[in-house]
Amino acid sequence: MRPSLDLLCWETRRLFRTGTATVALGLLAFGGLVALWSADREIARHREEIARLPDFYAAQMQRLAGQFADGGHAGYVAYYAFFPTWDPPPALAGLSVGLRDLLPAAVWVRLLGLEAQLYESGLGNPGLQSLGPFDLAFVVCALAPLVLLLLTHDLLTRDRERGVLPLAHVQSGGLGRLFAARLLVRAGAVAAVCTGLFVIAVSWHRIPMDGAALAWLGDALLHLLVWTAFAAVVAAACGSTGASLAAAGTVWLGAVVVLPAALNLGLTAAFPVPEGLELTVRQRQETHAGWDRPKEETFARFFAAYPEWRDTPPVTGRFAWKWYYALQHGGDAAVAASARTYAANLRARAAAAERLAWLVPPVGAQLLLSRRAGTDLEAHLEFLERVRAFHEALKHYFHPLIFAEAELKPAAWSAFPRYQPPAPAGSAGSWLERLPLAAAALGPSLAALVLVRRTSALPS
Amino acid sequence: MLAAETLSKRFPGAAAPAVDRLNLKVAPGELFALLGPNGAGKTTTINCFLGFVPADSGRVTVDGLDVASEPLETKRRLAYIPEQVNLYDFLSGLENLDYFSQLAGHRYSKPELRRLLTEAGLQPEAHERRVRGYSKGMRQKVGIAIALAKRAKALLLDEPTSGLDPSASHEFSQVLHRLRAQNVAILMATHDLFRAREDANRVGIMRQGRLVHILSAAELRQTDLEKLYLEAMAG
Repeated sequence: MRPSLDLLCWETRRLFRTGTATVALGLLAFGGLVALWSADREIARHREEIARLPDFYAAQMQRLAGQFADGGHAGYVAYYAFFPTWDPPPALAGLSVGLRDLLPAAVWVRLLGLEAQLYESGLGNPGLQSLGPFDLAFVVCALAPLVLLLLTHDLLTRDRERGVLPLAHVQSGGLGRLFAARLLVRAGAVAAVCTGLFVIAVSWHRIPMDGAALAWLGDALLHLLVWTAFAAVVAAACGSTGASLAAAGTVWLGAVVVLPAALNLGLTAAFPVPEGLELTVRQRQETHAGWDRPKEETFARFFAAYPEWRDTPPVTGRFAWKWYYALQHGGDAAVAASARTYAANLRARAAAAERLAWLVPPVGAQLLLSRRAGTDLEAHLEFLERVRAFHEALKHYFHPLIFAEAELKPAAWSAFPRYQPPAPAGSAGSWLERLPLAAAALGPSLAALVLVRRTSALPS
Repeated sequence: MLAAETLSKRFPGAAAPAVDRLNLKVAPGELFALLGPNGAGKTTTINCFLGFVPADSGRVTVDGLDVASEPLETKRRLAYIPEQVNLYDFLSGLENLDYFSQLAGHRYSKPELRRLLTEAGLQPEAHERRVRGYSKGMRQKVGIAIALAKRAKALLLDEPTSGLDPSASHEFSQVLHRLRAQNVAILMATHDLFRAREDANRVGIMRQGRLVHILSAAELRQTDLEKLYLEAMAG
């Protein structure tokens, strides 16, 4: 069944002798370039937004310095001070934009209740998209399989219909070698275009060629390998070009559009996630209800989380900043369990989708690629955790000042906590992560082997 | 070299078998011509040797190897020229010959490919033209070149001269003589009584899937083949 190098060369010449393959591969390459350009714009938008943050922060502090020229209560200053937190696009984001086009690159936080602030910039539920934005990952997951199917579906049927197949069969001994050579050349051509686009992307986005980048390419090619097995089944199973074209269309539509949508619906039902908006509304309602609640009750809830302030004097007047921030904490505490469910169920959804990658390879590949790029859901949830940690740092800085009823003058503001994102680190991942996707190739490969053996050179 | 032993084949839904308990042997260097009307089972017999059609019963062997159990090896020993040689229209005659030879694992230089095409009777100016503009006879000649290039031990011909003009047919006959001299076993299904008589060592007349007459070279010389054929057809 192993084709010789000469035969592979010949099949390559044959492939490009007709214009169809050139047009299809050219379109794929063009689509890839558009995807790279689109990703570049998206990532550039994020970088610009992040680059402007220091200026915005400085302008804000200058404005506040005017407002509080003679100083102000720490709680009062903290009420007006917004602090930027941001998630810099990782190096591979230009390959897989992932969820970044849906989610904010920067979140401004105040000392107030956090939950509402987290979802203010991105109210959409990030688990709701199936195949993501038009980036190179989409080209690899959706367009490349389509081109591969178009190039391979009539590997044998067209020759059978032309009447060339009997002679080709007798000449080559078995159809397996011929089939393998043709499939290999076509899959190789699609893989070459994808690799070429990857190389262009690497130089365009100045991506370091490290383990993570190579792993991204490896995962993309693994996905094409799975589709090569699908394409082999379509090409071997169908008796006529019409049937194979219909089968190719059906397989593509099923795997790229219908099954991902069904999987998404199924996972949404299996792991219900409260909407960000719902968390926001509940937190606000809880906070506002706090105005009419006895202050002791509000403080009791606050002291449960921050016992170090338990022994401070009670609030006697109508308003005190420490009570105001205790009130804000109450709102967060009320939705804390829901917020944990939100993250846990989103993670459970992603994990289930990954486990089902063998069933819906494009989804599995998309998840793998965005994970390699650090633009997946997990990366966003980790960013939200960093924002939470920063919000806690704000509390630890301001609480002593607020409880001491301190006055803050602008000169002291340079000591305010500043957010520092961790250095982005790419990861090549483990082979175990790829197992479900690799498993998707197994069944179709075996089926194609059996089908090719049974294929006849004569029309039935 | 080629042998069919009580070979039978009935296609699903057909009233009568296409091939009925056929016994046939073609020795190296021998040309066996199968005569018979359309539907007599000639092409089915050839397709059984090629392994395209599985036998219902009986055995078909090539060089002692069973076609059913050794499909790759038996095809390796066979060359085949169908009644209508279909080629890749977007390639030239030379490229078609090169491609089909590569499929068979043979690599020829351009001069060798040209020599093969010329030997098969294709005029040199047509070698590099795309096959799209070829006549049926020219395609047939490329088919002959492909068969020659394979250097097979046995050759299966399914009405190979249909579409060839008399002089091309004569050239083809000379090619067959050369192949016989090289010890190639040839089984040829044909309607051409004249060529069968001229070229064959033995002639078999088929009717309704059965070999009703087999004539040796000596018998052929003394027999009016046309009369015998018509009698055989009349039953």
